Amino acid sequence: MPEIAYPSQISSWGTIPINLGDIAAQQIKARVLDTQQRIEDLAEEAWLSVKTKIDDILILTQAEGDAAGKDDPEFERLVEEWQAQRSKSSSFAGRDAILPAYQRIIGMGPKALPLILRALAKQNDNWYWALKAISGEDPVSPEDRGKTRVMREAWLRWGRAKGYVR
Amino acid sequence: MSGSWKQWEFPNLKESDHKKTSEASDDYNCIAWAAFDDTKRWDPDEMEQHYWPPGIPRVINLEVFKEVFRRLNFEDCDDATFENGIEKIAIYATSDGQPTHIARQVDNGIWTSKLGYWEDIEHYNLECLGGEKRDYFGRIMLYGKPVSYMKRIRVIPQKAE
Repeated sequence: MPEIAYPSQISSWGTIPINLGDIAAQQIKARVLDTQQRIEDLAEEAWLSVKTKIDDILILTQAEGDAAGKDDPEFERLVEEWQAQRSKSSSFAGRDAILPAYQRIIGMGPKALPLILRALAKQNDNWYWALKAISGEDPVSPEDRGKTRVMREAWLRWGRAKGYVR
Repeated sequence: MSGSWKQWEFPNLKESDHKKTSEASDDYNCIAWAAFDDTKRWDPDEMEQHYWPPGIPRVINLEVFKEVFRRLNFEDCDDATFENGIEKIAIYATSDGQPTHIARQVDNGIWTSKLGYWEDIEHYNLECLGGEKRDYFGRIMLYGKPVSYMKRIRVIPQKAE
């Protein structure tokens, strides 16, 4: 976390040149210390939030980098078939997943995982059914169900942890 | 055609029937939009990757879709006729009974729909999104037609006249 420089009067209590009496001085000191703590907490929280966002961007950028130039001809053909078979006017995942080309992608098994993750890094799409069907895992937390951008980040992070994407 | 969909997807949708009201997005879908939620996709997918109201079966059928909206205080009604102080939804289904789409009434003669992975539109009748055909695999495509209507006391004010 970046170091924060506080004004000198906050860190040197003995030098405040006002006679307030002991009780008032103690109260002011307590309030200022409390405020100082709250500022530190907020700074910590803000830094963690920024750091998480930076990590997410790095994961996506690396995955997008991996996506270039590592195509599998069979997978690419099946993706093309799937895109041609599906109707994007219907937006229910199960209807996409029962299409023959999508089922064949699932049938490729674990070797499809890095290919799917690279496709997902290129563009958000309905890959979540296949990822869960093949891997048997589910990195999406219950409160994030349906939030496709968060789901995408969760699966790419999972792929990175498993070594499927760098 | 004002949206990014292909003409064959909505063969009966004319320029004069609608106007685009958002950019294309896959952040939410038609059922979420009908339920006033543009933050996530509502989908009964069996892999449980998308949001679906707890306790409702993850199955695509008309009765299940209606149960979702009963949870939001909607009840069955006879038709799409506008009633002051009431909001209505229309559920579309194909001839094999599969629900495909939900539109929400905004005002007298105005409906709003999220079209698949594309834009939101306002449309001035329900029939313009209808249609049905079979694809190469024999699947019934397009939205079919409105088959069921539900209503509740309006929670979002109507547009000012």
